[in-house]
Amino acid sequence: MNRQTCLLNPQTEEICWIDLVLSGTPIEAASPSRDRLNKCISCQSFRDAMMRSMGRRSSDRLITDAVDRLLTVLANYNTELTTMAGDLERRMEEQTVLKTVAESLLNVQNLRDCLRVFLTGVTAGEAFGFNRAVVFLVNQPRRALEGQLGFGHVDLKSYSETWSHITRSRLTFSDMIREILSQRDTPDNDLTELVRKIYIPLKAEFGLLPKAVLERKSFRVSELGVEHVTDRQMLRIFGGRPCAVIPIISKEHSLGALVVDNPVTSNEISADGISILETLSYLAAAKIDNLILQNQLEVRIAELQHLHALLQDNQQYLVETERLVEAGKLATTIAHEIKTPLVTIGGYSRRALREYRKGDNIDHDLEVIIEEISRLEGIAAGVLEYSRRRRLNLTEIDLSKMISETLDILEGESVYNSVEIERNLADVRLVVRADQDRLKQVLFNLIDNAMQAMPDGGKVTVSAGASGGYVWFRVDDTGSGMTPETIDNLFVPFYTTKSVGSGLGLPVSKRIVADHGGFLEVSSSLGSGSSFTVNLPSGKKD
Amino acid sequence: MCRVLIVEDERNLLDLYRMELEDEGYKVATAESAAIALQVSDEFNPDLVVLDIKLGEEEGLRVLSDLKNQRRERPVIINTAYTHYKHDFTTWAADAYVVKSGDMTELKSKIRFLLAEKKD
Repeated sequence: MNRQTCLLNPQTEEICWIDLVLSGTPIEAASPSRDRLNKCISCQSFRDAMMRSMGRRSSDRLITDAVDRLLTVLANYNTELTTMAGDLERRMEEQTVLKTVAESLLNVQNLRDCLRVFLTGVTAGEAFGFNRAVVFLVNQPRRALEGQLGFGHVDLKSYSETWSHITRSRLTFSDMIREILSQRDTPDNDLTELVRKIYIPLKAEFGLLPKAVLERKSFRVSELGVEHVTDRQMLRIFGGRPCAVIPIISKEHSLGALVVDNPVTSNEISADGISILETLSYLAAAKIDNLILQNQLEVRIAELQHLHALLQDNQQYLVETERLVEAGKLATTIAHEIKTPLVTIGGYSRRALREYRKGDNIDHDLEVIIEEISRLEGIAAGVLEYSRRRRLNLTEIDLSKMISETLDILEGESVYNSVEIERNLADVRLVVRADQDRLKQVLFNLIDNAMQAMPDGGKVTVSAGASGGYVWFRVDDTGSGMTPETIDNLFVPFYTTKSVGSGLGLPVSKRIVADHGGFLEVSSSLGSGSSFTVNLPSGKKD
Repeated sequence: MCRVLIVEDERNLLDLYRMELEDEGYKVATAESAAIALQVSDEFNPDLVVLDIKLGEEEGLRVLSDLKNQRRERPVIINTAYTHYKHDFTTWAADAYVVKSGDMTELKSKIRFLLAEKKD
């Protein structure tokens, strides 16, 4: 017996389920799927069978009509539900894509990858599936839009190959993003190559792109023409077809524009499509904004590093120059310093020779000559000491302890009996990285200097403390103080107001302190004494 | 016997000048600093002064001017280690300028010349 085939799907040659049931097959055995049953409700065969099975009485007919109407309503609901389910499924897909794009954007480190993720979202079949997408970004200094990246091809011929590759590889959307991001050095496609050459001034009269950016608004056109874009390349790529322009805008900045079209599928660009592209653009804009700032920062940092290097070179040069100038000054000073003993030696030698020839006693002349030669030796030793660049033997030392030890030794010496030495040291460890012996030498020099300023006795106060990243120690005396002229010349080698002393104690001290990265401060008032403070960078790591 | 005052703060040099000039037959007085030079000059009343001037020291130049004010016609010889003072107009008030040397021939001849000139 020939069974009736399904009216709704005649090509499948499926057997009509109603026909099967009516011919006596038990319902369970016929077991139609739920989908199939949903379709049957709207099938005329089903309805005819219903009519037949309900009998011909008028009461039956009323019930049949009611059932028929109910079935019609049901069928409509069914169709609506199916459409809604389809919509929901699409929305969910869109949401998944948006989520994946958002997550991928979180991890990208540079602008190029950011744009690639963005365009993958726009063009991937599983997502919004636009056939082509091109990004332009605003170049603020030039006030223009510059083409950056294109997904898709200039010519339609190239598509079949790409599409068959994508279909074959059966990649999920997140796989596709991963693969695209892993391709570091792939050459630009023909679309990107072309797009990179496009430069559109950011003024509304230059067409839809600047307009979309300036007005922060999307545009859709059914046929892109010269009235929409002034750029010839843009016309060559997108001209004559429906296309949409979506601005890429962050909260604060208008960053660029996205252009999409569907030359392959010829799918219509719907208002929904525009809306979802706007969401996607907004997602990408936040990251693009961030990366542009980061780029600017990197450029600034590079500039600063360059400047820093220049400054270092200059500083090195200055230090060298300063050393040469200092060396020149020192040479002049030394020449003058040795002149007096040389004149004296010369004078006494001539006198000695004369007296010797006359048979006179020349003991005194020779004593003076020896004394002046010793003086010359002293000057030579001082110059060597001053000029020597000794390597510092840096260790971590406690300044308070070092000062206490030095003062303990000095107080035992009779030379210091005429003065009172007072200690005013902080009750904490004052840690500094320094050459202990050299610092002791500085302290000794300063105390010796203070002693010289108080020939009739007085008080030397040694204090120490820490402030502003420096540890310091200070030597105060109650001597006669210094004139401004003396203070100006304090650190000039061989400048001395003392009857004894090399004139090199303070210059050497200053140099030692500078070698430690510190500085020496002097203050003085005539009649009430002077104060020398050594400041050294704190060795404590915060 | 001509009287010469030597102002020099280097003790050994001062002694040398004194001995050498005494050997030349002068009566010599010494001052160990410019500060006391004027006082010694006032007491000793020299016919000529040999004055040491140090670089950057104003006192020496002031003493030069004071000495000249004391007795304008009395010659003052500046005796210094620095050659460039020669071109400093503040020292032009001096009658001669001698750069210090172990060979005292120039100083001695300048003294002799100026004292002879004065007598004429």
